[in-house]
Parts: sequence; C-alpha cells; structure tokens
Amino acid sequence: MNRNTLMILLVAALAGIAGILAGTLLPGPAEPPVLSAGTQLGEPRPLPDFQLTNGDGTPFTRQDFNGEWHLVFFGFTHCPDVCPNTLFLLDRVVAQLEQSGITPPQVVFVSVDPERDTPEQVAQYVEYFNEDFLGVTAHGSDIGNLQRLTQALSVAYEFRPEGDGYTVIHSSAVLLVDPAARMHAIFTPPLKAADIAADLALLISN
Amino acid sequence: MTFMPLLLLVVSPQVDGPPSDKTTAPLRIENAWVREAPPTAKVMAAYGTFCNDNETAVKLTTVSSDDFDSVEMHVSVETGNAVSMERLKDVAIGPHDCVDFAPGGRHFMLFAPSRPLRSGDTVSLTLQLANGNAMKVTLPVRRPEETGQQHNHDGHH
Repeated sequence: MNRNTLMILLVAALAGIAGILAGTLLPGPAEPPVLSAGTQLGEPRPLPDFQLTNGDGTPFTRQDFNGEWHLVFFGFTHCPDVCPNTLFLLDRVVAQLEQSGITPPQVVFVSVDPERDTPEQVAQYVEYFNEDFLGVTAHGSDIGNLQRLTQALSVAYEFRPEGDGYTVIHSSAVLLVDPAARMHAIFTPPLKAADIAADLALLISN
Repeated sequence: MTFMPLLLLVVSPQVDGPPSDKTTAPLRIENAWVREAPPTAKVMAAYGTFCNDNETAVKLTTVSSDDFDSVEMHVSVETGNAVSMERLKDVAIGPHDCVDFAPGGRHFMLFAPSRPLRSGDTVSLTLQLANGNAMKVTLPVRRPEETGQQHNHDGHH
C-alpha cells in the first residue's frame, strides 16, 4: 500500500465519520424529533370549526388557537382525582418551560359536563391551578359544538349514572395543538411533567 | 448468645393469645392527606397508605365525615385513553399488608365540603371496618408536593 492509497483511505474514513456525526447531530428537517412522552401525529389534524364559551361569556372558537401553541385537556369540575392531578401537572410543565426560557403553550381546560359546569365556573376552577389557564365549556346551543370538537379529536367521553347523580368517563390525554389550529401531538398517561416539558421544548422550538 | 433475648421479644406478642377481631388494633395510617381544591370545587380527594399490622385481614367498609356531605371510596381506572371512576364497596387489607390510596388510583371521594378548605386546615374521617371497629383519622389539607406554586401562585390566595 503506497502513501497515496493510504491518504485516500484516510480521507474516505474521515469523511465517513463526519457523515455519521452530521447524521446524528444534525437531523434533516423532515425528521420528527424523538419524543420521550408524547406521540406526534404523522399528519397534523385540523380542528373543526366550533364555538364554546369563555368564563366571561365571550365565544371561544377555532380562531383562538391561531398563532400560538395550546395544550388542551378535557375533563369536568366534579372530578376529584384525575382532573386536579392533570391540572397541577400542567402547571408544573408550564413552570418548567418558563424556567428554561421557553414560552409555554396556552393551557385550555374544556369541561365536557356543561350540564353541571357553567363557563364561569370552569374558568374559576382552572384559575386556581394557574391564573393564565383558560377554562371553557359549552353553553346553551354550544352543546353540538362540543361534540363536534371532541369527535374530531377522537376525545371520547360518556356519562354514567352513579348514586343520585352521574359521573363522567373522559379522555385522560393531553393534546398539543399547533399555531395553525391543528392537533399536533398527544400525551397519554402516565403523565410526567419533566418528560412533557422536554418534549414540548423540542416540538415548540422545532 | 446475645440474640436469644431479641428473638424472644419478637415472638412474645404471639403467645399472648390467639388473635381475634375484638383485639384487632386500628389500622396504621401513613401520609394521609386531602388535596386542596379550587374554592368552588364540590368534590375533593383524600389519600394515604393504610397498613394492617394484624394477623387477620381487615376490610374497610364505609367512611364518613363531619366535614363533608358524604365520603365514598373510588378508584380511577385507565382504559385505553379514557379514565373512569369506579366505586369500591369495600377495601380489604390482608394481614401485614398495606393498601395505597394515591393520586390516579384509589382515593376517598369527598363530596361537598361543609366549609372552604385551604392548605393548613385539617379534616377528620371516620373509617368503619367490617369487624365492627371504627377509627377516626385527622388529615391535613395541602397542595401536592411538587407544584409550580412558587412560580405561579404566590400572592393570589
């Protein structure tokens, strides 16, 4: 093996190593980030047109999702365990992102129980967990809108009689909606604040 | 042989007489707490670890409280991506076993607090056991340990 051959081999080897490094360190723009907790949708799913109601009585519509990332959770206020757990967790997620200098998504809690929850009650309820959280639900003729939104997002819920009243079986997932009002990723239990914050840091800054 | 007296100490309680329901000690309860809820919340939840140090199983049947309209035992159940709550008629705790009531799982569902409850308040629950024993437990109301409260909540309440 003469010197030239050796040189060519060496250059080729270095180029190969550089290529491998570039491949690992600089993923192409089409590569979705690897998430630790969430699942990114292959194709973002546009939200349908809908109208719900904010705590102050103003409409909350698809347009409210434009221009900003949102985290959406569906529940009800007569929910002693999972809903407060999740809202406390989302408060921690927001705090962790803020500590990392990342603008957190706007958190929206949608009550699927407008029979018992008025928009005002829902807004008051979520304010306790974080004063920036939004609480919305259906009001009057909005009921069909709530169904349209949940169906489009595959968010199931149903009412089941219990004692004198009823309980609500509801989705435990947290949905990430992108600034183009499309469902972008889904976080399903077990939910961990640090993992969700890490995933959001990747997705939002991507 | 220095370990003999120790060994005797360990076994001696068992020679006092056969265990019976009448002498069953109350449950040993660890880390019991009620999660603070929004002031308008009509339901709250209590958690804790309930240990049975006895030789026979005990069964928790009903729970009552002066601080709430009613109390039920429930479990949150994940099926697929949906979560439902199922009522537990009773909760059995085997001999020398513990049962956890923890967020996302078993919990005491506390209906309609009789007064607004904030962190630092205490409430009491009366636990009724199938063997006829009852015990009153005092639980602190508090926020979950890990929250972003120092970041978002100071000064609002």
